[in-house]
Amino acid sequence: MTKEELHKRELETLKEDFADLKRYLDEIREILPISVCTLSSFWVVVDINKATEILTEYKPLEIIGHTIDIIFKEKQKLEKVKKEVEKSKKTISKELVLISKSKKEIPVNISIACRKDPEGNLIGYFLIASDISRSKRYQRELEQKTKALKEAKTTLEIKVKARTKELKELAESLDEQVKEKTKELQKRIGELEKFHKLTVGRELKMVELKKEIKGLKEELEKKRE
Amino acid sequence: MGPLENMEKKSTEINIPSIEELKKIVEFPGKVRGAALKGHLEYILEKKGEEGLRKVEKEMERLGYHIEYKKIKETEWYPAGLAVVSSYAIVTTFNWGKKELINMAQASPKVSFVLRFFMRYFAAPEKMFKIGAFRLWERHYNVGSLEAIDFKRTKKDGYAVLRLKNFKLHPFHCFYLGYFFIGVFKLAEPKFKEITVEETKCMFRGDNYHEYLIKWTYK
Repeated sequence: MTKEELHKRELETLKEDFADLKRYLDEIREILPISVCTLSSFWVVVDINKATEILTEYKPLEIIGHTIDIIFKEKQKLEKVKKEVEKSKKTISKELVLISKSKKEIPVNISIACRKDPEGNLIGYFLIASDISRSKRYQRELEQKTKALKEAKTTLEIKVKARTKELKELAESLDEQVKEKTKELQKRIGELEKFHKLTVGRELKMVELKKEIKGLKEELEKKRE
Repeated sequence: MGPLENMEKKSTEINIPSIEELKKIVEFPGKVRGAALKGHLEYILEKKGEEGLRKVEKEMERLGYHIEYKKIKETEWYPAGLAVVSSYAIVTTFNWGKKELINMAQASPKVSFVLRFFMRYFAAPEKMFKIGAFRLWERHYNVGSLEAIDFKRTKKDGYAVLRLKNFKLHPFHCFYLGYFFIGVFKLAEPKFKEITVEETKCMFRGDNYHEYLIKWTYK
């Protein structure tokens, strides 16, 4: 095989490999479930995958050539993210609100990574966006339920507090009653003690008198004898 | 006198080829990547849908060129003249004029895998003109060469001059290419207020090469 033939064969192989690689990348672009946008160093959309078409409702020809700002609601927040990426040259993730072609607002989690050429010069960015509206909805529902629970807890606390107060008042009232009754009882006991003392004194007097009568009777008997 | 004043200004009006001319154009020995024809496919689908695509394919058939746009492989080489016939078929099928042809030419780079793959040339407009123009042409066509002759940019405006050598298809394609270049340039930089192109030299007007003057102002 001549040198020319070898080069030709090598070229053919490279062409086949390139076509295969291209097909492989196209397949990935089609099936990847998350949105991937390729951006130029000026933040111009250069390429989008199928998931981005579905998410944004824009077809490639409608969005390619526009700056990425076209699909985001919070322009100032986006500018901040861009500056952060440009400055740090690192992958930055943030939550933003995407606006679809039909003006639907979709909360998304975006990640932006720098693209560099073999010499390390910035040549653009990759932007990955994932729809977080479902998780946001769950979060909102959870927040609502938590709020409802908190309200229920507060209501319950108020009720418990009121009931406790009632019980406390009742207890205090019972206490008063007990005190009054005790006082009354003590008074009665005092009276009874007094009465008891009187009756006991009288009993003793009677015993003494009976003894005296008995003594006198015995003296009288002796004198008769 | 600056380079702008030195430029020979000639009009870039649309010049539709005749059926006989189309036959000669297809015989042109150069080849073009399928990516150029894919650009047409995407544009037809976007503007006219599947039905529109069938009509264009029918028109191509009528002209004597059987083509199934969806079966075109972007990386394969096709006769360069086929791109001209395709543009012609699209324009005549939908009775389009200059405005629509301009829009199609500008949209074509948006779906070109060549541009997606070689984004490194888009890092800066200067780089795109000085290096990218030549490299991108090589990857789209196997004949001719494109080089950046002049480039100047201020904060307010700028201009660039592109020279295309050894490539003689038809004035219709010269016109198309001018707006294709604008489409490429718009991918690199987003803040144009106005951007125009003028083919100041043309091989069909007796010049030794084609020359395009692209001028722009910024927002």
